Amino acid sequence: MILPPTARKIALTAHIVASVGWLGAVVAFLVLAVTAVTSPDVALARGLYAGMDVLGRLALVPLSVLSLATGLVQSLGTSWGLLRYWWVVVKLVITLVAALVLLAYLPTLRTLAEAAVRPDGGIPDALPSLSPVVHAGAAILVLLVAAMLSVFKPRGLTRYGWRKQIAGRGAAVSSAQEVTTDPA
Amino acid sequence: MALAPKDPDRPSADTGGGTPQPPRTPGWVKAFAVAAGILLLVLIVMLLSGGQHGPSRHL
Repeated sequence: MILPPTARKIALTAHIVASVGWLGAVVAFLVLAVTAVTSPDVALARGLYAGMDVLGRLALVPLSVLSLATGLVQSLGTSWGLLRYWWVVVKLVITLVAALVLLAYLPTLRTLAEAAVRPDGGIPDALPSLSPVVHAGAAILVLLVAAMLSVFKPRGLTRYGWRKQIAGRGAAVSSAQEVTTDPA
Repeated sequence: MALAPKDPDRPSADTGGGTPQPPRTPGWVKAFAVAAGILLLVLIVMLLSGGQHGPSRHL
């Protein structure tokens, strides 16, 4: 179903806001992760791991789901389609994988946060952990690739998109012939 | 995920003229697939070799 222009612009705005918000939240997460690794302040590091857990559950996950959902609406509600152009397909795969990895990483974040706030005085041996830094850095790269795909839209029809395009041209030719042969 | 269909940047002639033929997979898609495959292979090797990767394996 093709969305009317106003609805399409609203959907596009929602998608941009959600996606940029996701990227911004990951950048904030990376700042916390790097500070937790580099800061000599034990109390600060403990709080940062707890903060990363909260940020992950209450910001990253909702924004990733919102980005994915609005992206699906945006593609299915326009003539771009979901599987017609390679850049849309690749971006969908990237977003889906990033969201799934994020969901799979939540238990690790929780474990790190629980270890950090244990009331035993010092920082546990497993902390500070480079894991959040690596994951956030990779997420930023992946989301930047997705953003670039949206802007540059590299050419390339999928076979499905090609078949749809051919079918659309055939339908257009048929309707034009009907008009020209119409005695009225 | 997509911009409006009337976007001026939209590709419109991927199949070219003449007899319609299925389009080839673009080079950038192949490069992307190769990079993703290498990354997946590295992760699998890390997991199989008992490396520290995967959910809740950091502690």
